[in-house]
Amino acid sequence: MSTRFDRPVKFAVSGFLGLFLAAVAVALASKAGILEAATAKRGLGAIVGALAIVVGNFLPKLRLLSGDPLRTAAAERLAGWMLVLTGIADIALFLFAPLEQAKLVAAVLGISAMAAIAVSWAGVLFARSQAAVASEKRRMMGFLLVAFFYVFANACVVFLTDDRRVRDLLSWVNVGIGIVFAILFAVMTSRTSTPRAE
Amino acid sequence: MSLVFKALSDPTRRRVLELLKERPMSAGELADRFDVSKPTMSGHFAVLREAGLISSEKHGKSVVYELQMSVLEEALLGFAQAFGWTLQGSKRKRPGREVLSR
Repeated sequence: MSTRFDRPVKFAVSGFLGLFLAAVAVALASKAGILEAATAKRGLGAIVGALAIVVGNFLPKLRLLSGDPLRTAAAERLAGWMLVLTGIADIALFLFAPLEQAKLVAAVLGISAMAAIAVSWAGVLFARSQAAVASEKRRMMGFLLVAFFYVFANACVVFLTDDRRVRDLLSWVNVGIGIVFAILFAVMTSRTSTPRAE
Repeated sequence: MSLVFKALSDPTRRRVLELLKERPMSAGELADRFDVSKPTMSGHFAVLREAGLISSEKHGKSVVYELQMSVLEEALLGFAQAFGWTLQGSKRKRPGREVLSR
């Protein structure tokens, strides 16, 4: 049964999956020679920007953080706005700027946004009282660390190696990770998204 | 999306959302800030809840409302506040006491 809380989650997950499939289609079209490599890179960059917009837009609705309602809401809204603005900037860069500069500026913007979100969310978690559930704090920090290492590892590979095979392997690993995360997220939210008391 | 536009088209409902940006509030607290009857306020809360802009939670006897807006909805609220959207053909609603006192 669909509830008012489920709707945004379903919309976000379908938007995420739709864009993800579009990214895979662009990558395959590039491999098959239908799209030029530069056009495909611009397309993929713009799709990543659109993904950031979709995720950022719905982030404040999902109420992922718990604790002081004012601080958690502020941190979630800040994260949402940062992702949406980064996504808009990414799309503009990949559509209009020279490709090499667009890649560099988009990567710096993305990593800066992730770091700012991690700092703001960590601030919320550490501000919670001792009575707050410690295991939840550890779980959230685990997620943040995984996200950080994932972005850091990707950035390192992209910046440090020009080996085509390594980059191709990274692309497919990312596709796999994205699909697994999307499925896990969909399964977890369908189990846990219960409507609040009306 | 039309539910969101409908919800944002009323100045009282927009003011409720602005108040909830400050902190979660109970239905009574919110109703006290407006010059409208409680059933009318309940109607406004129902429209906002239906649009998914707020969520409610029962705390004892009172119902506490909390903001639940996406970034796009927040931006739309900003536009609506700036340009004073109202539904076409709808009567001008009486704004809340706080709006009148400005």
